[in-house]
Amino acid sequence: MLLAVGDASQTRRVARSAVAWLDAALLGGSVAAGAEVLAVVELSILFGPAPIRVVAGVTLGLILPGLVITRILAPERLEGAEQLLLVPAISMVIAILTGLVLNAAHLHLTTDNWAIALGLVTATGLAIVAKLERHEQVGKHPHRDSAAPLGAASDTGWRIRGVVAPALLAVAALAAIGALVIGARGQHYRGQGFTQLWALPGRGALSAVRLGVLSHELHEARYRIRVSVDGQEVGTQEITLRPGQAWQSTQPVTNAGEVEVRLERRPGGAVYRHVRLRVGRGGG
Amino acid sequence: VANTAGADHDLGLARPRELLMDGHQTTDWARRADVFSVSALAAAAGMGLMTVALADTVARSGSSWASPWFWAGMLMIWMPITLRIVEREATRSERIALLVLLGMAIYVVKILNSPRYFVGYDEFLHWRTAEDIVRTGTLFDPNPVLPISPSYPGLEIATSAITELTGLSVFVAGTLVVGAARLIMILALYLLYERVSGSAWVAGVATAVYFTCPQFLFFDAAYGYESLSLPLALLVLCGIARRRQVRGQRQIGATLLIILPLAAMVVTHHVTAFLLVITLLLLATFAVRLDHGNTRLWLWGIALIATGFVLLWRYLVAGRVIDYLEPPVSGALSGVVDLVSGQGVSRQLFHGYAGPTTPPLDVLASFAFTAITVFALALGWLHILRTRRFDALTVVFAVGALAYPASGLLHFTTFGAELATRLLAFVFVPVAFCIALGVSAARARRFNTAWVVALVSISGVLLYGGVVTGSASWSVHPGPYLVSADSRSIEAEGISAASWAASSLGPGNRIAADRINTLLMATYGDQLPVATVGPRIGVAPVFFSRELTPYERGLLRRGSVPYLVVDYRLTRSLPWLGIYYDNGEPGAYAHRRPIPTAAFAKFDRMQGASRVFDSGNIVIFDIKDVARGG
Repeated sequence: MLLAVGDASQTRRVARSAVAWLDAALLGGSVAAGAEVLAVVELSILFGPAPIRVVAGVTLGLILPGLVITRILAPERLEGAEQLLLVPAISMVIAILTGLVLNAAHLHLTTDNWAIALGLVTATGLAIVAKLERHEQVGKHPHRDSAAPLGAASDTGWRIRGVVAPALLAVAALAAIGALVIGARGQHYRGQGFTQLWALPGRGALSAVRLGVLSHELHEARYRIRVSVDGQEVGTQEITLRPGQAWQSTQPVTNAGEVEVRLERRPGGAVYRHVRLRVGRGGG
Repeated sequence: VANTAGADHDLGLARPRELLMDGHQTTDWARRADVFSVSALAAAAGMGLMTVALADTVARSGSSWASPWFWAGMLMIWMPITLRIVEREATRSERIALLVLLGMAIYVVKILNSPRYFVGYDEFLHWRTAEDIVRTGTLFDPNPVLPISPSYPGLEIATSAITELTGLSVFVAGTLVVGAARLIMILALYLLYERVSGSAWVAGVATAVYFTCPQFLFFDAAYGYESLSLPLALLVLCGIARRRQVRGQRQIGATLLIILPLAAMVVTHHVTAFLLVITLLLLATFAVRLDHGNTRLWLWGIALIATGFVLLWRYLVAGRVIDYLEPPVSGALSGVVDLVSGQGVSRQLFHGYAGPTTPPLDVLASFAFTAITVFALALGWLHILRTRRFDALTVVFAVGALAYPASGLLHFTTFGAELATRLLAFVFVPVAFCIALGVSAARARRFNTAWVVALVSISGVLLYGGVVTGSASWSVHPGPYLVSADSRSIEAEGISAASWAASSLGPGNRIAADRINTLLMATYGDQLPVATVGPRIGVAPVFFSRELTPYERGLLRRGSVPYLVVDYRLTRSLPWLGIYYDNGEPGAYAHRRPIPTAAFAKFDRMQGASRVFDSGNIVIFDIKDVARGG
């Protein structure tokens, strides 16, 4: 009623005060909410299951520190684009500087240390925001939009009505996910198959050879392994491996000498792979 | 709104109807139109991404249809969005949303090239540093494949944070970090251009023009330090433009929002840090003459702080950065000097080292890209002179854009060409702004449907020309294995051999290998590749001779190399990038025939060498006895 009968300037002054109070109240509320979010994020990182930990980790790594520091350094209400720029940017900046500080303090960059350090930065920031807001609530009027470029604040927020736009956005999201799935499936190995053969000196025992075969052929494959020492065949074995399957063995060698291992593809019998090494005195 | 309108009037840009749309105030119907157009264009971009994904899939089996499919997908993403950005009806919010959509869609195109693992050469170099940080929990561990990388660990620290906090692999965490950096870059570019020009239209067009930069699609979206440092540098410049508009106590916060990214950028990438310091010094110098108030002193303060950060970091951590940067820079400059003085031979443009020469369409597009860029740049400079837009940032942009034509000579030298291409990512920041100003001058005179269609068509040519200028045609898509062709050489057999080395030989063995297997052994294999055995003495000659001479045995002894990796595919093709091992190898960039098989077969006859691994193409020799002098 008073407002209705007062002069225009008084009306504007009261309205501005109301907006300032409302802003302070809302911001104060968001500090408490921010502290709760931080606690949930920290617990999720340290004890949560994998999918929740991913969300929490990205939130602490790329969002929360930037959100809080930006609120301190730019308390005016930033327009959407600037907020979208500064939140991940300052979060990454904080992560980089925090990493340097942790390393300088001889603290390893482990999950626990990252979670504690970035949590501390965010919590400290939240405390500062709460203090600043109390200060502003008491006397100062927030300088809204003083840095927003060219009156940009009036262009914030979109209202989405109807179903067409959400449907189109859903199509876009599905198409992007589909593209990534197609791309990832397409990157599966589709070239020629191959097989690895290796031979290494036995651990500890000088007179033994560790042998291995790993098949990356496109289909199940049969092999024959022939082992010879100084030209004398000392063992042979037939194996069948599925794609991705490995075979390993240790071949004892009684005398020092040159061990040669040949891998033949079956049927056929042509030498497919071969390795050789010296064992015993002066070898391997 | 008044500010924007005024700015646009100053530029001769604004017309009565477009003030509403070109500025910031939007009506309810406009917002609804925004949402609809952005949603529709997002759906179109999604379809474009599907097309690109299918193109990449068929490209892996070597289909010749891959390239038309790929470009069809790219144009499905590019054309509708740029059309809307160029139109005057688009609001500021819509422009920003569309630029974010476009820039991020282009980033997804890069991911689709290899969505499961790193394949870019530089990505492997930084992956090793990131893996070391994650494995040891400490910074500055030596990196055998890029020794300077641990001295600038900003990107890898951020990746380590995400990896540790989420439990994701370094590849996925790195992709997220570079994705966030890409978002920062798009928005920082837009806001910087908007603050300097005072026009949402100019900012939108300039940002879209920057997307055609030859480095934007692949190199600056790869997992490398520049992909993060450049966005941080742009954030610093954006912060400076913002700080100039802030008054009162808020200036302290605004200044800290410059200094924090500045500090992070300095520890992320050397060249970006040096170029930013030069830019800030130029800006402060011009501000003395062109700006008023306390801005001049304040800008000098920022420039000196940046200089101090760079010097301090070099003193504390990155002492060898000059040694690292000196050879390529001096090589490029001496190449230019030789060329100008008539002593050097010009590098053959569009020449393929191994396969067919560049397709005629790509040559044409590349020339068109350069011609359009230079022409539009000239228009921009003329517009700045005509309208006397002599504020410090605009003048710095105008001066910085001179580097584009000035760097042209570098393309005619072997070592300068790579340097010039690398510099484009930085040079294009002012170039794109000047081009947008030049186009805006034309817009002020004529703005009809034909003009818009012409502009969007030219932008399509710029996109195609930019990509083929920055990347060889065979590297734009994935595909079957090629010899020494970076991303096209990363395949299962090499990865599997390196993984075997990690599990069977154990980590940290010194190992000599070709360019590609060096990367794989350093990352998947966790080995210590040896490229040199002394100042500028490489081990590459060991792999080229038909017989192992005492000199080459001496190299192996000096390098204490216990393992050699031999890839027989190198005997079947010339190297697509001109080198098999390194720049110092015999016949570098001038190979006429592949390495003879006998050069590799000699290791089978070498006394004291054991052939311990054979996967068909790749063979690993244990030469501990040879390295010990046995």
